[in-house]
Amino acid sequence: MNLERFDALKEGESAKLNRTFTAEDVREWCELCQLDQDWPGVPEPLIAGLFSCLLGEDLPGHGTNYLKQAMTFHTAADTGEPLQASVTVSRLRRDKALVNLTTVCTGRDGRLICEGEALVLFQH
Amino acid sequence: MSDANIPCEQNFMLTQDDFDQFARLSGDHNPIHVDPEFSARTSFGRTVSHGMLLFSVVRSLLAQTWPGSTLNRQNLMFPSPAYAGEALELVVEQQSAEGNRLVLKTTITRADGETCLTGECELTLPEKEAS
Repeated sequence: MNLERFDALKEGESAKLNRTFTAEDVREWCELCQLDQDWPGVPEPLIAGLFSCLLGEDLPGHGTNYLKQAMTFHTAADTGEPLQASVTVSRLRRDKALVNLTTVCTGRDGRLICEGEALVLFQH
Repeated sequence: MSDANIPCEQNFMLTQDDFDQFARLSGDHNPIHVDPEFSARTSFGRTVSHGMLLFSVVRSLLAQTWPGSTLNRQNLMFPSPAYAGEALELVVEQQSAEGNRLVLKTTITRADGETCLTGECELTLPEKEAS
C-alpha cells in the first residue's frame, strides 16, 4: 500500500467546482438512460456526478476508488442555475487508506440543493 | 399506494459510447472511464462505468415506474466495477412504505453475480389525482 499521496491529505481540505446545466444537457441525459419524459430541473445523478468528478479528478484525485455516496436532496436544481459543488475531507483513516468527505451542492443565492457524504479508498 | 410493479427489473448493457457521453455530461474524464489503452494497464484491465452512470440507470427506472415522484435521499455503494458490453441487471425492491413515502432497495448485478451497485432511496409519490 503506497500512502504517499494519502499522507498529503488533510482534514478540512476541500475542492470546489462550478457548473451550470443546460436544457440540452438534461435532454442528453434522458436520451442516455432511455427515458422518454420531460425532466423538470436537473436530474439528481448529474448533481451526484459533480461530486464524483471532484473526487476522481481533484480531491483525492486519480486513483480514487469510490466506495459509497449518501445524498439528501433538498430541492431540485433548475437548468440555467449556477451550481457550486464542493467536497471536504472530514475524516482520514490511514490504517485502511479510507477518506470520508462531506459533499455539498448549492445553487443561486447559496440555496442548498444537496448534501451528503462520500467514502473513498485512496492507496496509490 | 405503491401499486407499481414491485419488484421491478431491467436488463441492460452499457457501451463505451455511454461512458464517453456521461464523461462529457459530468465533466469526469478520468481515463479509467474513457481511455481503453490506459485502463488496460490498470488492475481492472479495461474501462469501467462511472458509478453515477449506474445511478442514472436506477433513477431512470424509478422515474418510469413512479412518474412524478420526488427523490428525497439516496445511498449508494459500488462494490465491484461494471464494464462496457456486459449484461447487467437492475432490481428495485420495496423496503417499506408509509403514507406517500416509499423506501426502496436498488441493486445492479453482473452476469457473474458480482454486485456493481447497491442502494437505498426514499421517494415521495405525487398526490393522487381524483379519479
